[in-house]
Amino acid sequence: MDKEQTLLEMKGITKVFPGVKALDNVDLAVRKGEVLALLGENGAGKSTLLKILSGAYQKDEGEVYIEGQRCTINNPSDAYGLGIHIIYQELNYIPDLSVAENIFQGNLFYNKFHLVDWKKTNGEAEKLLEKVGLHIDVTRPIGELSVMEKQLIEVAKALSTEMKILIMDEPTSSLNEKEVASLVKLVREIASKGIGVIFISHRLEELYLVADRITIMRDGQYIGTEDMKSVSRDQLIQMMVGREMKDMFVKEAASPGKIVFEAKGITTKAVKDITLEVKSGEILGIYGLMGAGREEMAETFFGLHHITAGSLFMKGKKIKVDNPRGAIAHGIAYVPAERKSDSLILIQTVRENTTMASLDKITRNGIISRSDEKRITLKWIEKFGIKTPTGETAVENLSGGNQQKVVMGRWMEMEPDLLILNDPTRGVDVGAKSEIYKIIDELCRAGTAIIMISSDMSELLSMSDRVAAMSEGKICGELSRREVTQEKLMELVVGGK
Amino acid sequence: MLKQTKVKKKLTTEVALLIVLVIMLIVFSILSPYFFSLSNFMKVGLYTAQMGVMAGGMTLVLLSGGIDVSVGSVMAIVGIIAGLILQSGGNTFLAVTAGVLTGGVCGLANGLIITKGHVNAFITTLGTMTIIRGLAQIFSGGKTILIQNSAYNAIGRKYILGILPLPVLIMIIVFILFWFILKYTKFGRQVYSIGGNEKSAYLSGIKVVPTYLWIYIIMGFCAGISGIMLSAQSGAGIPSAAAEINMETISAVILGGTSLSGGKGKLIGTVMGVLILATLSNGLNLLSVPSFYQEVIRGVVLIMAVIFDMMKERKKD
Repeated sequence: MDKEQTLLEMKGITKVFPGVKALDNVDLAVRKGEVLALLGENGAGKSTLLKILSGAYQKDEGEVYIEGQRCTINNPSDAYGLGIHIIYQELNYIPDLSVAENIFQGNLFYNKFHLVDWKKTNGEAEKLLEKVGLHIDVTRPIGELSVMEKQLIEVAKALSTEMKILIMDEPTSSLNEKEVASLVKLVREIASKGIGVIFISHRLEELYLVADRITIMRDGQYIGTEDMKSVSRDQLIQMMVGREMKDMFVKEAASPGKIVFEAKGITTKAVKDITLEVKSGEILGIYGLMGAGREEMAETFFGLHHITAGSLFMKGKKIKVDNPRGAIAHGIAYVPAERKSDSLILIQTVRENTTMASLDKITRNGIISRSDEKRITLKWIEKFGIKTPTGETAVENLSGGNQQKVVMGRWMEMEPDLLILNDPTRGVDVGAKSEIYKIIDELCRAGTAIIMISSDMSELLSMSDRVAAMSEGKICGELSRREVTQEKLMELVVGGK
Repeated sequence: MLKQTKVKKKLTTEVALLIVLVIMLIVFSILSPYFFSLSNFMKVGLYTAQMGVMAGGMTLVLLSGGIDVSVGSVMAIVGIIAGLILQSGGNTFLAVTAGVLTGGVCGLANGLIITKGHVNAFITTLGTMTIIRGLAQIFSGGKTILIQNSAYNAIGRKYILGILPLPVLIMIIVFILFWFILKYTKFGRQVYSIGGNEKSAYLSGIKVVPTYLWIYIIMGFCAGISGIMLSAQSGAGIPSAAAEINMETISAVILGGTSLSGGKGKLIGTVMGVLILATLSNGLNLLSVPSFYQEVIRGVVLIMAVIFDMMKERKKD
């Protein structure tokens, strides 16, 4: 390697989950005293890679070297013993216990009577927080602190150990500008002590401030590592995107009809001033990175969040949706991203899952018509080619793609005017993916207005008539089918201009 | 392939219970000369009917992922109210109507606390269990309310055609009704859906809150009917009555294969559970097994049934 001392080296790391290759021959190297940024789209494999390093996952292939020594990491305590410290996005703490108790967790200080020595415990906690310049009352419940303060506590805890490598997974995602600046300063200080820092963030501006080098990943593969000083924004975006488009189902350009659905200035806790419209026979794609508010927006249209400002219109008429039932009555259907927890009743049959949203239609005098139910179930099994032995099979026995088709059948039976899809092909294998695209295309041509949220850029580009980009709860731009490219879209969401 | 395993699984759940029941019938018939006779069975039915009727409602409650431990107290207060109405000159029809409605109101209160107050079902009904029991004591002044009204008493004592006790007939009707509701009605489907995955059900437009409310109201009606049968049979409204029936009822439903986490179970299983528990206690009585030992045996049977169920679940994974 270079003259600088390599602290950590990961070589040829491969990790396979049932049905997906999450990591494919990935390399990563961190030098002593440097901050390495790790960049990639959602699902690029960053988290999986770091979880392998921290012992949460086991790699299937590849090697890890620390200071030239090959080492095995089978569990989190191995990683800890090697001096690897990870600060996750979701911090682990017990909100009602004091700051000091959370810092020392199982290792409080005891006096000779085997009772907790509070003076010493609190004193040591204060001393520890001194290292990160945090002056707070350590007897306060940790739940009352800000995200930034909690981050600092985590950093302080890490600093009190024999740490060689510090991993920070999107530490700035919920910090304001001032906090980001002071965190950046602290991270630089930590690195200057000879510790290697791996820093994950989507915000390019702060990466230019904090990182020395940057490694880019895409679709579980290593794309490259660059010096932060010499790499341009455009180059980074190029490396992040550039997914291959061949062998993808490509929807034909549609001829949209009348406006079906409009949102004007919709504001909730999570989203700000959302204005958009979808026409009949049109697919509006929504792109955004994690935490951009895409899901919250979709849920708001489906009546799951309280709207503080703005209005929704369906075919020109103002509507009010307070719950899913109300949204359904206005002809809105929503396919959530979490199929197993939010869509299906796994222990129930394909039949029961298919007819769930249209029970009213097939019930007479309180009694469900068995023949209608069977007819509907068979209709969608046939139409969507759902691979199931019978309609009476429990839906938990079906593959992910077939489960998703059951969900699609449920909503199609309702004959919606607006269909909102949230990551419709998540966890679905390649073959079933293109079948689901075909289904979406057919619905679109039949005149349904569709909003499709996806983390998969190539999917959005091939399916959408227009794509809107979201970031920090707002729509930050819209591109038509003709003008949209992966680069332009990424530019928008990482805070272009 | 999949179809075959499913059919196989179905057979084991219900048939296993049936086999247990048949074995029990054979063993007790051999051990006791009084056991295998129509009149003994009818007597068993008579004493089981109160629990059986409540087990019908409890099946809905457990299927929805809930629980109700207040039903014994509801039975007691219903007996007191019916008794007070009869004592002050009201007729049987009025007493029965008021009793059943009282049960429904208690159920509605449980349902409102659970859905609107977002209190866990067990905690809610644990609270209302003592509240309702206390109210029963207050209304009766802590005393037994004697009921000497032949029309009313007949509800708990009359034998139709000299052979079938009226409570047994009521229990059979209740079972058929719940079997029908769970198998064929939209309401029944909604019960399974919210018990199977409340969030999915809500996101599919199912009215979750009203469904929960109706489940607890129906449970209350069942407790009301059982309370009427109990007070009619014993000829008294007793404020401390039916203290142990909560757990017996829940045991019978769980024994019948209904999952405590909801979404899974059938009424036919509940019927089996009720029959097994009733046969067990009758057989042990005839064999003069002391009641302390009977309690131990009943507990063991319940735990074994649940372990058996869990083992089956795990094997499936």
